[in-house]
Amino acid sequence: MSDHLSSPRALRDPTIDLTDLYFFPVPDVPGRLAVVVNVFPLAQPGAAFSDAVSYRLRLAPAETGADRVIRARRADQVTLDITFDDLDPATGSQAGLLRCGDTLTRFGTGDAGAVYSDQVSVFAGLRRDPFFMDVRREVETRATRRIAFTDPGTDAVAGQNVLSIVIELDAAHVLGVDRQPVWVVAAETVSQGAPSTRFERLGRPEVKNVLLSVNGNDTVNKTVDLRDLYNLEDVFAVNPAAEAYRSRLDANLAMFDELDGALAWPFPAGNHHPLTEMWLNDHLVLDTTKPFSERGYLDLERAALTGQSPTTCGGRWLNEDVIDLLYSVIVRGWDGPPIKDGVEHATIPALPKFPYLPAGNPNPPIADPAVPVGHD
Amino acid sequence: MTDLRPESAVRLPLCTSETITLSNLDLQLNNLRHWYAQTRRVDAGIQIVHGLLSRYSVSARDADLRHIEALTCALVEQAPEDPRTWMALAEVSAMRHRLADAGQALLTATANGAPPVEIAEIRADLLEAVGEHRAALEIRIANSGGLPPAQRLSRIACCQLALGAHHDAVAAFTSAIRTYADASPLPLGSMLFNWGHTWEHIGDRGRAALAYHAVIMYLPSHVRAHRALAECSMASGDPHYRRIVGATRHQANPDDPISLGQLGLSSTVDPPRVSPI
Repeated sequence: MSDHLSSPRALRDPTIDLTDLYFFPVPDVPGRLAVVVNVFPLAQPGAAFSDAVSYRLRLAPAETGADRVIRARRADQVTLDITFDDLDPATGSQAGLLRCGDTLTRFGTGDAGAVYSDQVSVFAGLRRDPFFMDVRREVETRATRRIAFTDPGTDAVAGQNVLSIVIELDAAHVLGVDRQPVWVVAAETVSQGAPSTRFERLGRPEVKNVLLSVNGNDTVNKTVDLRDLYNLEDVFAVNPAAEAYRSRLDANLAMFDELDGALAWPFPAGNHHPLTEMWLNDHLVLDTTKPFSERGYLDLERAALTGQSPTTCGGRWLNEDVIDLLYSVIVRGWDGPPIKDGVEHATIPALPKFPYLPAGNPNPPIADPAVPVGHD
Repeated sequence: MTDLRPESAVRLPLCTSETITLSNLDLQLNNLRHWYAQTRRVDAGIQIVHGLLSRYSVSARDADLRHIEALTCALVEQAPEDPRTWMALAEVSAMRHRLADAGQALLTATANGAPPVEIAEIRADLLEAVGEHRAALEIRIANSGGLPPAQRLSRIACCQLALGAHHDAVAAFTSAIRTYADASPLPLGSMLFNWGHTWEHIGDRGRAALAYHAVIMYLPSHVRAHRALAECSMASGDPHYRRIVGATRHQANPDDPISLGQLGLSSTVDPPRVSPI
């Protein structure tokens, strides 16, 4: 389920569990960008951010390598750190701080605490989870090695909430006036203080839960859950020796390619799957100079790998059906007939205006508790 | 003597406040209770047990434990073939010091196919409860897959400490703290409480009090740490302990870490005044 419940550590503590990341130009406002990062799957009204965690957004200009893979230029990254104070018992809200270089922006949780300015706007608090997919059928697809989606499917996330951090920023002010067009973003939850521990990281949806999952294909690590190890890696400095991840991605991607009985991604033995390096550089990619598009996910990556021109700004908009796109690409290639999971949109889609996500559901449906609760 | 040199200090991690941790936990438990009431699914019931045990680790309310017991018995009755229900019963029985019942529940869990890794951890707990620290230590060292590294190392450290291997124990507990990679204070609180309890068990109330104090800094309402600290104070007659009890609440502040040096975790700690083993 996107990045919900995506590692043993995240399962133990929802405050560090990143669920989704979005990166898009603000609709109809040239020069302004939005980043949304969600945490805390199945959040109930009253759920709170941790006051010991830094919710970090790392943006960096990108370059396309000789292998046609888009990578972050780490040395030029811009970091946004969002932190929260303890719960105010009187109001049930939390004071928050956005730190970008030397610039500090104070805000509070909830609609009343949001701040709006020309340079940066911030909202943090309970919102409807904009993600949607048929989780049961996706799991069944991997387990049975056949496409198990139905039409219609069942949205496992319907009516659920997350804790959301929404940031709108003036691109010239935050990223620079003479910046190059293409930027990438990744999110992290890291411990405050020193030394700092990275609890989770997130770029694209389903990299950990689907593409790196243990599916019995990987001959190097047949049973090892790689996800917490993966979280420890710096997304902007992919370890050249990260063969465990490459092996898992190669094996799983080959399995997905075989789901429809046709070969979309041939690759010679001993080589890597043509998409492995793209997934391994796990961030969203956006052309910051192009206007908003409702369908941009993976478009810049596709253009780089195929040598074609991008048709959109890239990035990821809140209402995009990323599961359909993911399965279509990994099973049938960039241009094959689409695969649909039968869930085409969230119960209440996001709006094209800050803070974009619908207000939190005061009575979310009782959730299937796939989550271990508490621990000592 | 306890080494308080700054250069020996290993910083304890910053953790989420008790207020946020318990509030979020209660919200999750509420969801689970509704889910269990609707579906009677055993996995939901088991998760409620674990959540309530976490809650009880702080509150120490007898009513909470009675609730956990009742739920666990109901789960065993509902799904006697499910090893998880028997493992939960074993854990709860052990907390009630009904060690024979706990052992029997563990045998049934094993017969029903419980994962050996998880059985081993509970068996080691039972062995420790009856003073079989060496056997518990051997299980904990051999059982590498059951717990996150920090919690496993801290349990090994407590066994070593109880056996008189102080330097090894301190090294293991220091490693446990260094490898702690969670934002929640609940596992850390339990690690520190057990560390303090073991120091107290071998007669060093000074180091025990410092560990209990650290627990309270993370979890200000941790009832058992307050009680243990008060007992240390009464036993020693030293007002120093009273000052510790009255210390300020822990705030998440990166500039104000608790120094492990203050917990007697340097490699130069003295041998204990009483060595029971």
